[in-house]
Amino acid sequence: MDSIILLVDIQSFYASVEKAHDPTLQHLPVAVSGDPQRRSGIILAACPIAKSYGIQTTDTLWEAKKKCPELVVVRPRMQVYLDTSIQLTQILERFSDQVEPYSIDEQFIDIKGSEKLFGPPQTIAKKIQETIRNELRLHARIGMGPNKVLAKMACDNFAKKLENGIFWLTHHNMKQYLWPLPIERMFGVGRRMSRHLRQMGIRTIGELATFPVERLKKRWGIHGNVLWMTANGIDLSPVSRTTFYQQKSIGHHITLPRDYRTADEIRVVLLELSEEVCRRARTQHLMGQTIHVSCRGANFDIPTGFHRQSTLPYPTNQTMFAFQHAWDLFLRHWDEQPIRSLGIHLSKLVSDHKMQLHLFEQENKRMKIGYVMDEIKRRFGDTAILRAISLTPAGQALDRAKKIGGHYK
Amino acid sequence: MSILYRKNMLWEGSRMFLPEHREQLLKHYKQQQTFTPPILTEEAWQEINRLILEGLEGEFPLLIQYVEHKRPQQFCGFIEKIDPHERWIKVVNGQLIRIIHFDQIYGVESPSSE
Repeated sequence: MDSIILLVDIQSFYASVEKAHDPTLQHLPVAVSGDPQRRSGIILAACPIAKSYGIQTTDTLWEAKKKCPELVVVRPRMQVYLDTSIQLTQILERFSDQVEPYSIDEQFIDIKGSEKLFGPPQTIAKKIQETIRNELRLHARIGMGPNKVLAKMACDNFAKKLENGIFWLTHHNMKQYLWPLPIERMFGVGRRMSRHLRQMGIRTIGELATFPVERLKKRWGIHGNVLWMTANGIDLSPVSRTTFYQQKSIGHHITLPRDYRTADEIRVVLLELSEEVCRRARTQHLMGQTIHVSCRGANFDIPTGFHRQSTLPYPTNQTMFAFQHAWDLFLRHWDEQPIRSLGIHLSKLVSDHKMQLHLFEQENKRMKIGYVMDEIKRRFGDTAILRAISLTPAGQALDRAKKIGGHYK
Repeated sequence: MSILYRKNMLWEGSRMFLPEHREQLLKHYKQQQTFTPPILTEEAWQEINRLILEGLEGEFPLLIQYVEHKRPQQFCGFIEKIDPHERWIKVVNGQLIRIIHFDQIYGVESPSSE
Protein backbone atom coordinates (compact mmCIF):
# COMPACT_ATOMS: atom_id res chain seq x y z
CA MET A 1 0.00 0.00 0.00
CA ASP A 2 1.24 3.49 -0.84
CA SER A 3 1.53 6.06 1.88
CA ILE A 4 -1.69 7.74 2.85
CA ILE A 5 -1.18 11.01 4.60
CA LEU A 6 -3.92 12.86 6.43
CA LEU A 7 -3.87 16.51 7.38
CA VAL A 8 -6.14 16.99 10.37
CA ASP A 9 -7.25 20.58 10.86
CA ILE A 10 -9.53 21.88 13.62
CA GLN A 11 -12.29 24.26 12.59
CA SER A 12 -11.94 27.74 14.20
CA PHE A 13 -9.55 26.25 16.74
CA TYR A 14 -9.37 28.87 19.52
CA ALA A 15 -13.08 29.73 19.32
CA SER A 16 -14.10 26.07 19.20
CA VAL A 17 -11.99 25.24 22.25
CA GLU A 18 -13.72 28.05 24.16
CA LYS A 19 -17.11 26.72 23.09
CA ALA A 20 -16.18 23.19 24.10
CA HIS A 21 -15.18 24.44 27.56
CA ASP A 22 -18.34 26.51 28.09
CA PRO A 23 -21.53 24.86 26.81
CA THR A 24 -23.57 28.05 27.36
CA LEU A 25 -21.71 29.54 24.38
CA GLN A 26 -22.82 26.69 22.13
CA HIS A 27 -25.40 28.54 20.02
CA LEU A 28 -23.93 32.04 20.26
CA PRO A 29 -21.56 33.85 17.88
CA VAL A 30 -18.18 33.62 19.60
CA ALA A 31 -14.86 35.19 18.71
CA VAL A 32 -11.49 35.13 20.43
CA SER A 33 -9.80 38.49 20.37
CA GLY A 34 -6.56 39.94 21.67
CA ASP A 35 -6.31 42.88 24.04
CA PRO A 36 -8.27 45.81 22.49
CA GLN A 37 -5.97 48.22 24.35
CA ARG A 38 -3.08 46.95 22.29
CA ARG A 39 -2.54 46.25 18.66
CA SER A 40 -3.17 42.58 19.26
CA GLY A 41 -6.84 43.56 19.61
CA ILE A 42 -7.88 41.72 16.49
CA ILE A 43 -10.06 38.67 15.92
CA LEU A 44 -7.82 35.60 16.29
CA ALA A 45 -10.60 33.11 15.66
CA ALA A 46 -14.32 33.28 15.01
CA CYS A 47 -16.75 30.38 15.32
CA PRO A 48 -18.85 29.39 12.29
CA ILE A 49 -21.88 31.29 13.66
CA ALA A 50 -19.81 34.45 14.01
CA LYS A 51 -18.37 33.91 10.53
CA SER A 52 -21.90 33.78 9.12
CA TYR A 53 -22.16 37.48 10.09
CA GLY A 54 -19.16 38.15 7.88
CA ILE A 55 -16.61 38.29 10.67
CA GLN A 56 -13.14 37.25 9.57
CA THR A 57 -9.90 36.47 11.33
CA THR A 58 -7.75 39.64 11.60
CA ASP A 59 -10.80 41.93 11.66
CA THR A 60 -10.36 44.53 14.38
CA LEU A 61 -12.61 44.17 17.38
CA TRP A 62 -14.74 47.20 16.55
CA GLU A 63 -15.20 46.05 12.95
CA ALA A 64 -16.41 42.71 14.23
CA LYS A 65 -18.77 44.32 16.74
CA LYS A 66 -20.22 46.45 13.97
CA LYS A 67 -20.94 43.36 11.86
CA CYS A 68 -22.47 41.49 14.79
CA PRO A 69 -23.41 43.54 17.89
CA GLU A 70 -24.33 40.45 19.94
CA LEU A 71 -20.90 38.88 19.38
CA VAL A 72 -19.49 37.20 22.49
CA VAL A 73 -15.84 38.15 22.74
CA VAL A 74 -13.51 35.90 24.71
CA ARG A 75 -9.94 36.56 25.78
CA PRO A 76 -7.40 34.09 24.39
CA ARG A 77 -6.05 31.46 26.78
CA MET A 78 -2.97 30.27 24.96
CA GLN A 79 -1.98 27.63 27.50
CA VAL A 80 -5.37 25.92 27.16
CA TYR A 81 -5.00 25.86 23.37
CA LEU A 82 -1.50 24.40 23.62
CA ASP A 83 -2.72 21.68 26.01
CA THR A 84 -5.59 20.86 23.64
CA SER A 85 -3.17 20.65 20.74
CA ILE A 86 -1.05 18.11 22.63
CA GLN A 87 -4.22 16.12 23.47
CA LEU A 88 -4.98 16.09 19.77
CA THR A 89 -1.49 14.72 19.07
CA GLN A 90 -2.14 12.00 21.64
CA ILE A 91 -5.41 11.02 19.99
CA LEU A 92 -3.76 10.80 16.57
CA GLU A 93 -0.92 8.72 18.00
CA ARG A 94 -3.47 6.00 18.77
CA PHE A 95 -3.97 5.56 15.03
CA SER A 96 -0.34 5.70 13.90
CA ASP A 97 3.06 6.41 15.40
CA GLN A 98 3.84 8.78 12.54
CA VAL A 99 2.31 12.09 13.63
CA GLU A 100 3.81 15.47 12.83
CA PRO A 101 2.19 18.63 14.20
CA TYR A 102 2.38 21.38 11.59
CA SER A 103 0.88 24.21 13.61
CA ILE A 104 -1.20 24.58 16.74
CA ASP A 105 -4.33 23.29 14.97
CA GLU A 106 -3.00 21.22 12.07
CA GLN A 107 -1.25 17.87 12.25
CA PHE A 108 -0.04 15.38 9.66
CA ILE A 109 -0.51 11.67 10.22
CA ASP A 110 0.78 8.84 8.03
CA ILE A 111 -1.65 5.93 8.32
CA LYS A 112 0.28 3.50 6.17
CA GLY A 113 0.18 0.15 7.96
CA SER A 114 -2.75 1.09 10.21
CA GLU A 115 -5.44 -0.25 7.87
CA LYS A 116 -5.22 -3.75 9.33
CA LEU A 117 -6.17 -2.36 12.71
CA PHE A 118 -8.67 0.33 11.77
CA GLY A 119 -9.92 -0.42 8.26
CA PRO A 120 -9.59 1.41 4.93
CA PRO A 121 -8.29 5.02 4.83
CA GLN A 122 -11.74 6.62 4.57
CA THR A 123 -12.86 4.69 7.64
CA ILE A 124 -9.75 5.70 9.57
CA ALA A 125 -10.39 9.35 8.72
CA LYS A 126 -13.97 9.04 9.94
CA LYS A 127 -12.87 7.32 13.15
CA ILE A 128 -10.31 10.04 13.82
CA GLN A 129 -12.97 12.67 13.27
CA GLU A 130 -15.39 10.89 15.63
CA THR A 131 -12.80 10.39 18.35
CA ILE A 132 -11.86 14.07 18.25
CA ARG A 133 -15.54 15.04 18.41
CA ASN A 134 -16.26 12.70 21.34
CA GLU A 135 -13.22 13.49 23.41
CA LEU A 136 -12.46 17.13 22.67
CA ARG A 137 -15.83 18.27 21.28
CA LEU A 138 -14.08 19.80 18.28
CA HIS A 139 -14.84 19.48 14.57
CA ALA A 140 -11.90 18.19 12.54
CA ARG A 141 -11.57 18.57 8.79
CA ILE A 142 -9.35 15.99 7.16
CA GLY A 143 -7.51 16.24 3.87
CA MET A 144 -6.16 12.96 2.49
CA GLY A 145 -3.51 12.42 -0.12
CA PRO A 146 -0.55 10.28 -1.18
CA ASN A 147 1.79 12.92 0.28
CA LYS A 148 1.79 15.93 2.56
CA VAL A 149 1.28 18.63 -0.05
CA LEU A 150 -1.77 16.95 -1.59
CA ALA A 151 -3.20 16.27 1.88
CA LYS A 152 -2.76 19.93 2.76
CA MET A 153 -4.39 21.15 -0.45
CA ALA A 154 -7.17 18.57 -0.09
CA CYS A 155 -7.91 19.98 3.33
CA ASP A 156 -7.68 23.70 2.53
CA ASN A 157 -9.49 23.63 -0.79
CA PHE A 158 -12.07 20.87 -0.38
CA ALA A 159 -12.44 19.25 3.06
CA LYS A 160 -13.05 22.61 4.75
CA LYS A 161 -15.89 23.35 2.36
CA LEU A 162 -17.65 20.01 2.65
CA GLU A 163 -20.30 19.11 5.18
CA ASN A 164 -18.57 15.88 6.25
CA GLY A 165 -15.16 17.56 6.28
CA ILE A 166 -13.21 14.80 4.55
CA PHE A 167 -11.70 14.88 1.07
CA TRP A 168 -9.24 12.56 -0.66
CA LEU A 169 -7.05 14.05 -3.37
CA THR A 170 -5.08 11.57 -5.46
CA HIS A 171 -2.82 11.76 -8.49
CA HIS A 172 -5.80 10.48 -10.49
CA ASN A 173 -8.47 12.95 -9.41
CA MET A 174 -6.15 15.93 -8.99
CA LYS A 175 -6.50 16.99 -12.62
CA GLN A 176 -10.26 17.04 -12.24
CA TYR A 177 -10.46 18.87 -8.89
CA LEU A 178 -7.22 20.69 -8.18
CA TRP A 179 -6.02 21.86 -11.57
CA PRO A 180 -8.99 24.11 -12.46
CA LEU A 181 -8.53 26.13 -9.25
CA PRO A 182 -7.05 29.65 -9.47
CA ILE A 183 -3.33 29.80 -8.75
CA GLU A 184 -3.81 31.65 -5.43
CA ARG A 185 -5.38 28.54 -3.97
CA MET A 186 -2.18 26.54 -4.30
CA PHE A 187 -0.05 25.87 -1.22
CA GLY A 188 3.00 28.12 -1.21
CA VAL A 189 1.59 30.81 -3.50
CA GLY A 190 1.10 34.12 -1.76
CA ARG A 191 -0.22 37.39 -3.03
CA ARG A 192 3.05 38.52 -4.57
CA MET A 193 3.85 35.18 -6.20
CA SER A 194 0.37 34.92 -7.72
CA ARG A 195 0.87 38.34 -9.29
CA HIS A 196 4.15 37.24 -10.86
CA LEU A 197 2.59 34.01 -12.12
CA ARG A 198 -0.42 35.78 -13.58
CA GLN A 199 1.91 38.13 -15.42
CA MET A 200 3.46 35.06 -17.02
CA GLY A 201 0.00 33.94 -18.12
CA ILE A 202 -0.39 31.27 -15.45
CA ARG A 203 -3.86 31.57 -13.93
CA THR A 204 -4.68 28.09 -12.67
CA ILE A 205 -2.84 25.36 -10.82
CA GLY A 206 -3.13 23.18 -13.93
CA GLU A 207 -1.47 25.82 -16.08
CA LEU A 208 1.44 25.96 -13.65
CA ALA A 209 1.69 22.15 -13.64
CA THR A 210 2.02 22.01 -17.42
CA PHE A 211 4.31 25.04 -17.67
CA PRO A 212 7.91 24.22 -18.70
CA VAL A 213 9.72 23.66 -15.41
CA GLU A 214 13.01 24.91 -16.85
CA ARG A 215 11.60 28.40 -17.27
CA LEU A 216 10.34 28.43 -13.67
CA LYS A 217 13.74 27.23 -12.47
CA LYS A 218 15.50 29.89 -14.46
CA ARG A 219 13.42 32.61 -12.88
CA TRP A 220 13.12 31.43 -9.26
CA GLY A 221 15.67 28.67 -8.88
CA ILE A 222 14.77 25.94 -6.40
CA HIS A 223 11.62 27.78 -5.38
CA GLY A 224 10.33 27.67 -8.96
CA ASN A 225 11.05 23.97 -9.09
CA VAL A 226 9.19 23.39 -5.83
CA LEU A 227 6.14 25.33 -7.02
CA TRP A 228 6.01 23.20 -10.16
CA MET A 229 6.26 20.04 -8.04
CA THR A 230 3.43 21.23 -5.79
CA ALA A 231 1.21 21.93 -8.81
CA ASN A 232 1.88 18.39 -9.98
CA GLY A 233 1.15 16.97 -6.55
CA ILE A 234 4.73 15.81 -5.97
CA ASP A 235 6.22 16.02 -2.49
CA LEU A 236 8.78 13.61 -1.09
CA SER A 237 8.84 15.01 2.46
CA PRO A 238 8.40 12.43 5.19
CA VAL A 239 5.96 12.69 8.09
CA SER A 240 8.53 13.12 10.80
CA ARG A 241 8.36 13.39 14.56
CA THR A 242 12.04 14.16 14.83
CA THR A 243 11.68 17.34 12.82
CA PHE A 244 11.33 19.18 16.16
CA TYR A 245 14.43 17.85 17.84
CA GLN A 246 16.88 19.88 15.89
CA GLN A 247 16.63 23.58 16.35
CA LYS A 248 18.15 25.82 13.73
CA SER A 249 17.55 29.17 15.29
CA ILE A 250 16.16 30.76 18.40
CA GLY A 251 14.34 34.03 18.12
CA HIS A 252 11.66 36.36 19.34
CA HIS A 253 9.63 39.02 17.63
CA ILE A 254 7.34 41.51 19.29
CA THR A 255 4.66 43.81 17.94
CA LEU A 256 4.93 46.88 20.12
CA PRO A 257 1.87 48.25 21.91
CA ARG A 258 2.48 51.64 20.28
CA ASP A 259 4.97 52.99 17.77
CA TYR A 260 8.42 53.42 19.24
CA ARG A 261 10.12 56.54 17.99
CA THR A 262 13.37 57.07 19.87
CA ALA A 263 16.52 55.02 19.98
CA ASP A 264 16.36 54.97 23.79
CA GLU A 265 12.96 53.29 23.78
CA ILE A 266 13.86 50.76 21.11
CA ARG A 267 17.06 49.94 22.94
CA VAL A 268 15.08 48.81 26.00
CA VAL A 269 13.00 46.33 24.03
CA LEU A 270 15.98 45.06 22.06
CA LEU A 271 17.80 44.35 25.32
CA GLU A 272 14.76 42.53 26.71
CA LEU A 273 14.47 40.44 23.57
CA SER A 274 18.21 39.64 23.71
CA GLU A 275 17.72 38.47 27.28
CA GLU A 276 14.84 36.21 26.31
CA VAL A 277 16.59 34.73 23.31
CA CYS A 278 19.82 34.11 25.20
CA ARG A 279 17.90 32.61 28.08
CA ARG A 280 16.25 30.13 25.76
CA ALA A 281 19.65 29.34 24.25
CA ARG A 282 21.10 28.79 27.71
CA THR A 283 18.33 26.46 28.87
CA GLN A 284 19.06 24.28 25.86
CA HIS A 285 22.81 24.62 26.35
CA LEU A 286 23.28 26.23 22.97
CA MET A 287 25.20 29.23 21.68
CA GLY A 288 24.67 31.08 18.43
CA GLN A 289 27.20 32.68 16.14
CA THR A 290 24.96 34.62 13.79
CA ILE A 291 22.67 37.33 15.03
CA HIS A 292 19.66 38.58 13.07
CA VAL A 293 17.76 41.77 13.72
CA SER A 294 14.51 42.64 12.01
CA CYS A 295 12.05 45.48 12.33
CA ARG A 296 8.98 46.84 10.61
CA GLY A 297 8.16 50.50 10.12
CA ALA A 298 5.08 52.02 11.71
CA ASN A 299 3.50 53.28 8.52
CA PHE A 300 1.37 50.49 7.11
CA ASP A 301 0.84 52.16 3.75
CA ILE A 302 4.53 52.47 2.97
CA PRO A 303 5.97 49.18 4.20
CA THR A 304 9.47 49.72 5.47
CA GLY A 305 11.78 47.77 7.69
CA PHE A 306 14.68 45.41 7.34
CA HIS A 307 16.09 42.05 8.22
CA ARG A 308 19.85 42.02 8.66
CA GLN A 309 22.32 39.57 10.06
CA SER A 310 25.89 39.62 11.19
CA THR A 311 28.37 37.03 12.31
CA LEU A 312 29.79 37.31 15.79
CA PRO A 313 33.51 36.76 16.45
CA TYR A 314 32.59 33.64 18.44
CA PRO A 315 29.38 31.81 19.43
CA THR A 316 27.59 33.21 22.44
CA ASN A 317 24.56 32.98 24.69
CA GLN A 318 25.48 35.97 26.83
CA THR A 319 22.83 38.63 26.85
CA MET A 320 25.03 41.71 26.85
CA PHE A 321 27.38 40.45 24.18
CA ALA A 322 24.55 39.46 21.87
CA PHE A 323 22.77 42.71 22.59
CA GLN A 324 25.80 44.88 21.77
CA HIS A 325 26.08 43.33 18.33
CA ALA A 326 22.34 43.44 17.74
CA TRP A 327 22.23 47.11 18.73
CA ASP A 328 25.13 48.01 16.42
CA LEU A 329 23.40 46.18 13.62
CA PHE A 330 20.10 47.94 14.31
CA LEU A 331 21.63 51.42 14.41
CA ARG A 332 23.48 50.79 11.16
CA HIS A 333 20.28 50.01 9.25
CA TRP A 334 17.55 51.95 11.05
CA ASP A 335 16.14 54.89 9.06
CA GLU A 336 15.14 56.70 12.28
CA GLN A 337 11.46 56.35 11.45
CA PRO A 338 9.03 55.01 14.08
CA ILE A 339 8.77 51.23 14.24
CA ARG A 340 5.86 48.92 15.09
CA SER A 341 7.65 45.65 15.58
CA LEU A 342 11.08 44.33 16.40
CA GLY A 343 12.71 40.91 16.42
CA ILE A 344 16.00 39.22 17.12
CA HIS A 345 17.26 35.72 16.24
CA LEU A 346 20.32 33.65 17.00
CA SER A 347 21.36 31.04 14.46
CA LYS A 348 24.31 28.81 13.57
CA LEU A 349 23.79 27.11 16.89
CA VAL A 350 26.46 25.05 18.64
CA SER A 351 26.68 23.35 22.02
CA ASP A 352 27.83 25.51 24.93
CA HIS A 353 30.05 22.78 26.30
CA LYS A 354 33.02 24.09 24.37
CA MET A 355 33.90 27.74 24.32
CA GLN A 356 36.55 30.20 23.27
CA LEU A 357 38.53 31.52 26.25
CA HIS A 358 39.88 35.06 26.38
CA LEU A 359 43.12 36.37 27.72
CA PHE A 360 41.81 39.52 29.32
CA GLU A 361 38.09 39.06 29.81
CA GLN A 362 36.45 37.16 32.59
CA GLU A 363 34.12 35.21 30.40
CA ASN A 364 33.38 32.57 32.99
CA LYS A 365 31.87 34.98 35.48
CA ARG A 366 29.61 36.59 32.91
CA MET A 367 28.45 33.25 31.71
CA LYS A 368 27.57 32.19 35.25
CA ILE A 369 25.51 35.34 35.86
CA GLY A 370 23.25 34.34 33.00
CA TYR A 371 22.71 30.84 34.33
CA VAL A 372 22.05 32.12 37.86
CA MET A 373 19.44 34.57 36.57
CA ASP A 374 17.78 31.77 34.60
CA GLU A 375 17.64 29.57 37.68
CA ILE A 376 16.01 32.35 39.74
CA LYS A 377 13.43 32.85 37.01
CA ARG A 378 12.78 29.15 36.73
CA ARG A 379 12.16 28.76 40.44
CA PHE A 380 10.36 31.98 41.30
CA GLY A 381 8.74 33.01 38.00
CA ASP A 382 9.72 35.01 34.95
CA THR A 383 9.45 38.35 36.69
CA ALA A 384 11.37 37.39 39.87
CA ILE A 385 14.47 39.12 38.56
CA LEU A 386 14.51 41.80 35.90
CA ARG A 387 16.85 44.37 34.50
CA ALA A 388 16.03 47.78 35.98
CA ILE A 389 15.59 49.14 32.47
CA SER A 390 12.52 46.92 32.08
CA LEU A 391 10.72 49.10 34.64
CA THR A 392 10.94 52.16 32.40
CA PRO A 393 7.79 53.00 30.39
CA ALA A 394 9.26 51.43 27.24
CA GLY A 395 9.84 48.07 28.94
CA GLN A 396 7.76 45.09 27.82
CA ALA A 397 9.25 42.28 29.91
CA LEU A 398 6.60 42.37 32.66
CA ASP A 399 3.79 42.18 30.15
CA ARG A 400 5.46 39.54 27.99
CA ALA A 401 5.95 37.24 30.96
CA LYS A 402 2.18 36.78 31.10
CA LYS A 403 1.90 35.78 27.48
CA ILE A 404 2.45 33.00 24.99
CA GLY A 405 2.82 33.96 21.36
CA GLY A 406 1.85 37.55 22.13
CA HIS A 407 -1.44 36.64 23.82
CA TYR A 408 -2.35 35.97 27.42
CA LYS A 409 -1.64 32.50 28.76
CA MET B 1 11.91 15.11 -14.47
CA SER B 2 12.77 17.84 -12.03
CA ILE B 3 12.03 16.22 -8.72
CA LEU B 4 13.91 17.48 -5.73
CA TYR B 5 14.36 15.68 -2.47
CA ARG B 6 14.68 18.29 0.24
CA LYS B 7 13.91 16.28 3.36
CA ASN B 8 11.28 18.17 5.34
CA MET B 9 12.29 21.66 4.21
CA LEU B 10 9.00 22.51 2.53
CA TRP B 11 7.19 22.14 5.85
CA GLU B 12 9.85 23.32 8.25
CA GLY B 13 10.19 26.52 6.28
CA SER B 14 6.50 27.31 6.24
CA ARG B 15 5.64 26.19 9.73
CA MET B 16 4.24 28.55 12.34
CA PHE B 17 5.24 27.08 15.63
CA LEU B 18 5.38 28.66 19.05
CA PRO B 19 8.51 27.88 21.07
CA GLU B 20 6.27 26.97 24.03
CA HIS B 21 4.44 24.46 21.82
CA ARG B 22 7.71 22.87 20.73
CA GLU B 23 8.88 22.54 24.33
CA GLN B 24 5.63 20.93 25.41
CA LEU B 25 5.75 18.54 22.47
CA LEU B 26 9.30 17.47 23.30
CA LYS B 27 8.20 16.89 26.90
CA HIS B 28 5.35 14.71 25.61
CA TYR B 29 7.81 12.68 23.48
CA LYS B 30 10.07 12.22 26.47
CA GLN B 31 7.19 10.97 28.61
CA GLN B 32 6.34 8.42 25.94
CA GLN B 33 9.80 6.94 26.27
CA THR B 34 9.50 6.37 29.99
CA PHE B 35 8.54 2.86 30.93
CA THR B 36 5.42 2.30 33.03
CA PRO B 37 5.57 -1.01 34.85
CA PRO B 38 2.44 -3.20 34.81
CA ILE B 39 0.01 -2.84 37.72
CA LEU B 40 0.14 -6.12 39.64
CA THR B 41 -2.63 -7.87 41.54
CA GLU B 42 -2.36 -8.77 45.20
CA GLU B 43 -1.73 -12.41 44.22
CA ALA B 44 1.12 -11.45 41.91
CA TRP B 45 2.77 -9.48 44.72
CA GLN B 46 2.41 -12.43 47.05
CA GLU B 47 3.99 -14.67 44.43
CA ILE B 48 6.94 -12.28 44.09
CA ASN B 49 7.28 -12.18 47.85
CA ARG B 50 7.20 -15.97 48.08
CA LEU B 51 9.80 -16.43 45.32
CA ILE B 52 12.22 -13.96 46.88
CA LEU B 53 11.94 -15.59 50.31
CA GLU B 54 12.33 -19.05 48.81
CA GLY B 55 15.27 -17.87 46.76
CA LEU B 56 16.98 -16.59 49.89
CA GLU B 57 16.28 -19.78 51.82
CA GLY B 58 16.91 -22.29 49.06
CA GLU B 59 19.87 -20.41 47.57
CA PHE B 60 18.71 -20.69 43.99
CA PRO B 61 19.07 -17.92 41.44
CA LEU B 62 16.20 -15.61 40.44
CA LEU B 63 15.55 -13.28 37.53
CA ILE B 64 14.50 -9.92 38.94
CA GLN B 65 12.67 -7.47 36.66
CA TYR B 66 12.81 -3.89 37.87
CA VAL B 67 12.62 -0.26 36.79
CA GLU B 68 15.74 1.87 36.78
CA HIS B 69 15.99 5.40 35.40
CA LYS B 70 12.49 4.96 33.97
CA ARG B 71 13.64 1.97 31.89
CA PRO B 72 12.94 -1.73 32.34
CA GLN B 73 15.93 -3.73 33.59
CA GLN B 74 16.52 -7.29 34.63
CA PHE B 75 19.19 -8.98 36.68
CA CYS B 76 19.75 -12.66 37.43
CA GLY B 77 21.46 -13.71 40.65
CA PHE B 78 21.25 -15.10 44.17
CA ILE B 79 19.34 -13.20 46.84
CA GLU B 80 21.95 -12.53 49.46
CA LYS B 81 20.10 -10.20 51.79
CA ILE B 82 16.67 -8.73 52.35
CA ASP B 83 16.39 -5.52 54.36
CA PRO B 84 12.74 -5.19 55.43
CA HIS B 85 13.32 -1.80 57.11
CA GLU B 86 15.01 0.02 54.27
CA ARG B 87 13.03 -2.16 51.87
CA TRP B 88 15.68 -3.47 49.49
CA ILE B 89 17.18 -6.76 48.38
CA LYS B 90 20.82 -7.50 47.56
CA VAL B 91 21.24 -9.71 44.49
CA VAL B 92 24.64 -11.22 43.70
CA ASN B 93 25.95 -12.85 40.53
CA GLY B 94 29.68 -13.56 40.84
CA GLN B 95 31.38 -10.16 40.94
CA LEU B 96 28.21 -8.29 40.07
CA ILE B 97 26.07 -6.96 42.87
CA ARG B 98 22.76 -5.09 42.64
CA ILE B 99 20.84 -3.40 45.43
CA ILE B 100 17.24 -3.25 44.26
CA HIS B 101 14.58 -1.32 46.12
CA PHE B 102 11.20 -3.03 46.64
CA ASP B 103 9.40 -0.21 44.80
CA GLN B 104 11.48 -0.84 41.68
CA ILE B 105 10.54 -4.49 41.32
CA TYR B 106 7.68 -5.52 39.06
CA GLY B 107 8.46 -9.17 38.35
CA VAL B 108 10.45 -12.15 39.58
CA GLU B 109 11.02 -15.43 37.78
CA SER B 110 12.60 -18.59 39.03
CA PRO B 111 14.45 -20.72 36.48
CA SER B 112 13.95 -23.79 38.69
CA SER B 113 10.18 -23.41 38.78
CA GLU B 114 9.88 -24.40 35.14
